[in-house]
Amino acid sequence: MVTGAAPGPGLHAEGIVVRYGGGRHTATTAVDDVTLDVAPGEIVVLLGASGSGKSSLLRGIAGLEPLASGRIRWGAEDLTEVPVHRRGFGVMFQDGQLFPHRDVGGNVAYGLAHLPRAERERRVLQVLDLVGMAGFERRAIATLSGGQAQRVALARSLAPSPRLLMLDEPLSALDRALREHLAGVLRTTLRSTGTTALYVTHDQDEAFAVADRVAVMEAGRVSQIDTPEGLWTHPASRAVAAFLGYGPFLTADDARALGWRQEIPAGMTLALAPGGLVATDSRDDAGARVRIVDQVVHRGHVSIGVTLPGGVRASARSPRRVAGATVGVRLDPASCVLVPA
Amino acid sequence: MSSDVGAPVAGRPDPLPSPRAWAEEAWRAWWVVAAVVPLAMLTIFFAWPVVTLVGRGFVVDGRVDTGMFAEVFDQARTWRIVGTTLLLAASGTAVSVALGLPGAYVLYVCRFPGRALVRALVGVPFVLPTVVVGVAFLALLGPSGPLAGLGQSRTAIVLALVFFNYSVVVRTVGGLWSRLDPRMPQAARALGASPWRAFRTVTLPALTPALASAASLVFLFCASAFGIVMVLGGVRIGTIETEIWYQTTQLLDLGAAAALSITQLVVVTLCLVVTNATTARQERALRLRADASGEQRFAWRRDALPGAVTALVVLGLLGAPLVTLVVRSLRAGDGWSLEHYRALATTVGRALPVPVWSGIRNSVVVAVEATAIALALGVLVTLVVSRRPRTVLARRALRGLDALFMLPLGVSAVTVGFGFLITLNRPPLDLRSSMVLVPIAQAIVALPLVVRSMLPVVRAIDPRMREAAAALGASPARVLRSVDLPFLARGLGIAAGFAMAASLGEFGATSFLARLDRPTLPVVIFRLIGRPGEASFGAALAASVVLAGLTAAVMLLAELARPRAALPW
Repeated sequence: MVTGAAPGPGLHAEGIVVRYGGGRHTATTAVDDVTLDVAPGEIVVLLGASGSGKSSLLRGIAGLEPLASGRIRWGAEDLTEVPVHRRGFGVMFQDGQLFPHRDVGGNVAYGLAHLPRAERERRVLQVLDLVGMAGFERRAIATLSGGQAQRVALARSLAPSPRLLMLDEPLSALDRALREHLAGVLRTTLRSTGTTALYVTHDQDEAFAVADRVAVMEAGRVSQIDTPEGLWTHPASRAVAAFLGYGPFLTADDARALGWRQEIPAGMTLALAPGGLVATDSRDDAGARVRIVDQVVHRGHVSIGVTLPGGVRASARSPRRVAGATVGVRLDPASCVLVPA
Repeated sequence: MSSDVGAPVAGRPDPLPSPRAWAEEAWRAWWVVAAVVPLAMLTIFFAWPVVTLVGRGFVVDGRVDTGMFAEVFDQARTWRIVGTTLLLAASGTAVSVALGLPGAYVLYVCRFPGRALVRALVGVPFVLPTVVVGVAFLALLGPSGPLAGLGQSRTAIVLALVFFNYSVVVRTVGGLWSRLDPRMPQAARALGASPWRAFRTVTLPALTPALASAASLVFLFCASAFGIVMVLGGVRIGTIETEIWYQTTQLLDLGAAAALSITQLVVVTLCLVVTNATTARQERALRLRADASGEQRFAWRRDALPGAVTALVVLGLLGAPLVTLVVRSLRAGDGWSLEHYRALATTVGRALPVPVWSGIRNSVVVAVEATAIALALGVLVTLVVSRRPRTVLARRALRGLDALFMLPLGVSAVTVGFGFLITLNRPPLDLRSSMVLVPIAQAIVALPLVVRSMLPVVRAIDPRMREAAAALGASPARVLRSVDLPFLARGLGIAAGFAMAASLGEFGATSFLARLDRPTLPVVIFRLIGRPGEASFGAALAASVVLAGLTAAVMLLAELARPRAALPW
């Protein structure tokens, strides 16, 4: 069936193209030739700004959106032409999409229609317990809070043990504290059930908290895929670094003016992570004195807006407010990375 | 190695190519059937009769002859009738909107004790049979009524049209108004605007789509009103609709009737186009503010003017005719009596070929049959039209289908009825002598209402809810059964209510189709008021009360089964 080397287990999405819109000439390409593998048990996060094509890619893999070209395989099995309900993939949406005319238990049991009644009920209790919603079986959907609804949606998606679970911005509709808490719950639950997952989000912190590997998407393409640590220490491009929160980007001259000693190869630029520029009091420390533009107090530190020698705006971290019109700053090598200019 | 599929997939059937292909074929076939059955019904029982009738006017001796148009429009009478139709419809619409705007504010934006009851009362006239409305106004304004003198005048007709359509404006505009974010006018007030200026510059523009949509709908209903004009217009005031009836049944001039039908069709199509355009805009506007609630407590100081206007309309315009109807039906000679109701068991001095009671029985039987047909067709149409196909062509086709099933709303029921008579009375379909034509005609007339009651509920389903079901392993058929149908069922009760109320009161088409010995109640009532004498009019009043009671009971039952989501009207 498969020519050449047999593919390993897990998801293989090859050359995926998703287009929207009717005519051949008016169509917009949402996903542009993406190839992505997810190993069994692995959690891969698709991270990108809105409109980067991450949700379209997920919908294409789930079978909810027709592919303009490309193949979807699970192991050696070709799923490209298989309709969504026979793929054995689960999907969890941003706002849960629970069925309002069924109670919590009825929602969770929906994907278990093939099981005998007793077994089905046992499984419902089991997954509700797993997401911390034990005892909610008979509750009406309308009585659930946003966070509870998402837990039930997760339980419903997990109940049929999908071989791949896809989560489309599952926490984006929730407020920040709940989002951070549930990101932990999600990761633990996916881990403990050994679920293979493809997870879409626009939130960098959420992506790093949940992922085994993160795929950064821009304009319908995957620009880099790596572990969270690898991604943070080696952003493949200036755009990826900027999206992860690096900035400003310094030329070799700018960097040297701030006391950077190592070589910056041609075609590279020095990207500063938050905290990459620190305010310093001592005079003999390698660095430069720069003009203060403003000072903003955060919990635990003050970020001082400054203009660097090259004219670039940057923000230096300081433990307290600084008096005067200038401040001494230096680079923290641990928070600086080289990226292609 | 390559056979390893990772995490266990409990009991999930492997995709098999051939059964899957078969299932897909069966699925496609089901949709084709679901679309073709209602289309066929609409073609045989609507398009064919109407087109044939219209064609009769233009085809003379096997050749197309448009001379009839010129001839019809050469007569001053035709222009007078077209003018009357437009004038009545425009006045009815203007007054409905002018009174409905404060009504919408009081009944939907303000909170006060008993609001639900007043809202329910305001909704009653719209579902009342047109013949009953006509008789109620006749009881109030007619020769021996308390406000005698206004009877059988244009003013009386306009008042009756407003009576009938007031709730359309109140519901459509109020539904939007109560969901407007109150902080918009508050922002205007904070910028120094007077309450009147804030209303004029902020609230009113936001309400425009609902106002336009309500106005075009009301204009449509007014322009195609038949029963009210027949009862209140007498022989002096005619509209296009009654003139079609007059030309076909009294003068037997099919050519003139066809020319008028086409004129009516043009008016109605224009109305429908405007309604569709404005409704679409309203839906867009609503989506922005669906969760903002602009309700506030009623305060006499602030709301005196709209409050007084609304009280006057509800008590005077809506209440008075109904109360007069009931009171006069209970009076005979100079005292209270049930004489008119007792007369219902008789033929009212041989005014009718059958006793009035048998007309009531006929009406109920026919209404049940018509409701069953309308619901069966309506469910199919709703399911088909609520699909969201991917290709632009298919989406356009569905939109066309949607508009097509709205047509019976506007095409003169008289045209439909007369069309039935001249097409379905010979092979291949000779249904004339069977009673089946009446419920079919009524079902076709009620179909738009049925579809409009269920479609919004099914359209409101987030497509991702169906996707979630599919991702949980549900086949397309199970998705339809477990997601679409429960939603559709929520609209089913109100749809059945509308269909039954429409059928109970249907007069235009039924007046042609009901056999002399099997009349429905509206036909009986019309025949009774055409007879001289207090006994006939009294029996008509009593029969009208019975018909109104039946309709109200049906709508009350439907209202109990109604979901909380608002309907377009």
